[in-house]
Amino acid sequence: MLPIPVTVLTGYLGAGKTTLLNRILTQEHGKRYAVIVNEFGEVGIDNELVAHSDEEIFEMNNGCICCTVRGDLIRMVGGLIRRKGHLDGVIIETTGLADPAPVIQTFFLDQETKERTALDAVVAVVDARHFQGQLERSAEAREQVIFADAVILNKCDLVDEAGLEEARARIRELNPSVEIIPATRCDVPLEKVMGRRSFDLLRLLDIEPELLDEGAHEHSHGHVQSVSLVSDKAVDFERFKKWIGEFLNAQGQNVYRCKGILHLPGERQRLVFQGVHMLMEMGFGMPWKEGEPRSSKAVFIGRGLDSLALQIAFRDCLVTS
Amino acid sequence: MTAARELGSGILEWSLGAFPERAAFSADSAEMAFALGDGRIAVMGVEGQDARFFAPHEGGSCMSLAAHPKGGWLSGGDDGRLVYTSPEGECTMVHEVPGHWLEVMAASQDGGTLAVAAGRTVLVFDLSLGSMTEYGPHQGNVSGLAFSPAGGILAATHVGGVSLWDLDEPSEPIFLELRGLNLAPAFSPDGNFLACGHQENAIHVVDLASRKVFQLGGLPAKPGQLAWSLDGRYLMHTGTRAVVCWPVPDCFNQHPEPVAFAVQEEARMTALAANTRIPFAAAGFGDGTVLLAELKRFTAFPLGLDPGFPVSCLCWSGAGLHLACGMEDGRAALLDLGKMLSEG
Ligand SMILES: [Zn+2]
Ligand SMILES: [Zn+2]
Repeated sequence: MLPIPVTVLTGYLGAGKTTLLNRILTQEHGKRYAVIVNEFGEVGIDNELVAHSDEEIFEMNNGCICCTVRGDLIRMVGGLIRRKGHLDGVIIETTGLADPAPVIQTFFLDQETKERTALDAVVAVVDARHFQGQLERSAEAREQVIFADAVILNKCDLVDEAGLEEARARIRELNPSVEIIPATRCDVPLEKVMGRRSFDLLRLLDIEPELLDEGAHEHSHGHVQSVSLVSDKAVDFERFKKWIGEFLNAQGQNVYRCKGILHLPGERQRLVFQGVHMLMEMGFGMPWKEGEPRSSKAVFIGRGLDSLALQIAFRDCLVTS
Repeated sequence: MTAARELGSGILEWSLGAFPERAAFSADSAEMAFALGDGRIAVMGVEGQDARFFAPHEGGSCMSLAAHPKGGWLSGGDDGRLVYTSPEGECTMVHEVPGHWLEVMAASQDGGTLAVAAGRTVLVFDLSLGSMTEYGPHQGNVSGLAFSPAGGILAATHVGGVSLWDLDEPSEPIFLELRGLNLAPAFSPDGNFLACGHQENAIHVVDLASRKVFQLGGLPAKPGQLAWSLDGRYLMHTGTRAVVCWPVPDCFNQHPEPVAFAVQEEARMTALAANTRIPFAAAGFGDGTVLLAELKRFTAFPLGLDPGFPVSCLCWSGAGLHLACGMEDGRAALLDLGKMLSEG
C-alpha cells in the first residue's frame, strides 16, 4: 500500500484555519481527504477555558502531552488507513497545541504510522493584522511559524502595505526558508496547501535536535507530570497573584503549562488564568450560573514539580471564613 | 458471496475485498467472522462455506467484533454504533455514542459480558440481562480492554496507567500508575499477572497480589498485541522478528532470559493469538507469514499461505481447533488444526 500523505495544519486562534479547511473540503477537486480535528477535552477545565471560542483543544490536563497526542493520533490515522476506498490525504488540525512537535514526531517515532504515511507539509495560517500582538503574547503563535514549511498570510485585505511588510519580516525572522503565501479569506490555490511535498525533516532537526530522540520521551523516569489543585473554597486574589508570580519566577522553566479557574469572593465571573513557562495571562471568563457550585481549580504540567508544596501554597491562597 | 479456495490440507482461503480488522468465532465455534474496513462483516462456516457479507456499519468502517453468546455478532464502528447482526444477517443498533470510534472491545471468556471503549468511557454490556453500565471517565482515551479469566475484573489501559474495575463493585477502580501510553492488556491464564504493552517499545508485567511491576524496555518495536502461553509461564508480544517467550514470574526474581525461536529475517510480527486449549500460539508477520508455534518444544512451522501482505488479525476458536487469519490485502484464511494434523 502507498503511504498516505498527511498535512499538518496549524494556526493561532482566529487566523482563519477553519475557513481554509472549508475551502479544501468543499472545492471541486475530486479528491478524498480525511480531516482529524481533535475531539479531546470532553471533561476537565479545558472546556471552560475555550468556551468563548469555537476552537477545540487537545486534552492536556493529565499526564504527558506528547503521549496523549501521539496515542490518539496513531489510533485515528491507523483507523483511517483501513477505510473503504482510497484516501488521497489526511489533514490534521492542531490548534490549541503548545507545540506541533508531538504531532510531527508521531509520524517518525511510531513504526506503523511511519510505514503507512508520508508527512507532506506543515502549513500555518497567520493573521496579518494580529500576528505581531500574538507573537508577544503566545509561544504557540511563534512555534507554529517555526515548524511550518508554508505560511498562509491571511487577512491581507485588512492591513496596509507597511503592515504586510512588517508581518512578512516577523515571519522571516522566525523561519527564513518558509514559503509565504498571501491570502484574503484563505483564498489560496489548493495545490499550495495539499500535496506540496515540502516537509523537511532535516530543517526541523536543525531547529529542534531532540525532535526524534526517543530518549527524550522516556516515561519510566517520569519527565512530565501534572499536579491538580481543587477546592470548593474561594481564592484570595491578591495572595494568589503574589504567590503564582513568585512561583513562576522561580520555577517557570519547569512549568510547561499551567492553567486554572478561580472562584473569587463576591465575583460574578470566574477568573481564568493560563501560563506557559514564566508567562501568565489572566482574565475574567464566563459568569457562574445561578445555583452552580463554585470551585477553584488549577493544573500545573511540568518537570520536577513538588506536588505537596503546590498543594500547601494553593491552600494558603484560599479564603478561610 | 465468495467461495473458498483450498490451499493445502486443512487450509482454506477467501477473498473479502477489504481490510480485515478483527476476527472472531461464533459461540459454538461453527462459524468465523471478520470485521472489515469498509463497514461490512464477512461470515463463513468452518466447513468451508461461501463467505456471506453483512453491512452493520454502512458507509463507515467496522473496527471491532465479538460473538454473541446466543448466536450472531456484535460489532463496533467508526460511526459510533454498536450493532448486533443476527445469524440471518439482520442488523440492529444496540447503542450509539456519536463522535466516538468503537474500536477497542473485549468479551469475557464465556462471552456473556462485552466491554466497548468510547473515548474515555467504557460501556459494559451484560448480554443475558441486556443491561449496560458505564465505567469511567478514565485519564485519557481507553486504548485497550481485557477481562480477567474468571470475568470479575476488567482492565482498561490509557495514558498514565491501567484502571482495574471490579465488575461487582463498580464504584472506583484500582489504579496502577504506569507513565506513558499503555495498550493491549492481557491477564495471565491464572489471573495472577497483568501484562500491558507500551507505546514506547516496552512491556509492563504487574504482579496483581503484590502490585510489583516488572518493566521490559528497549523492545525493537511497539508491542501492540500480547499473549500468554497456556501454562502461564511465558509472555509473548508482537513487534519482534521471531517468536519471543519471556518467562513469568521468573522475571521478577532474576534477569529474564527469553526463549526466542523461528527467527524471521525480513519481517516483524504484526498479529498474535495463543490457543486457550493447547500450548500453541499463532504468530503473523509483516510479510504474510503465519507461524504455528508450539510452546512446549519451542518450534514453529509456517502455514502454506501466499505471502505478500501483512497479517492483520488472528483468532482461535473457543474449541481451539480452528484458526482464523486476516491479511491486509483483503484475504482471509482458516486453519483446521484437526484436519491438518490427521492429514500430515
Ligand atoms: Zn509522553
Ligand atoms: Zn514526553
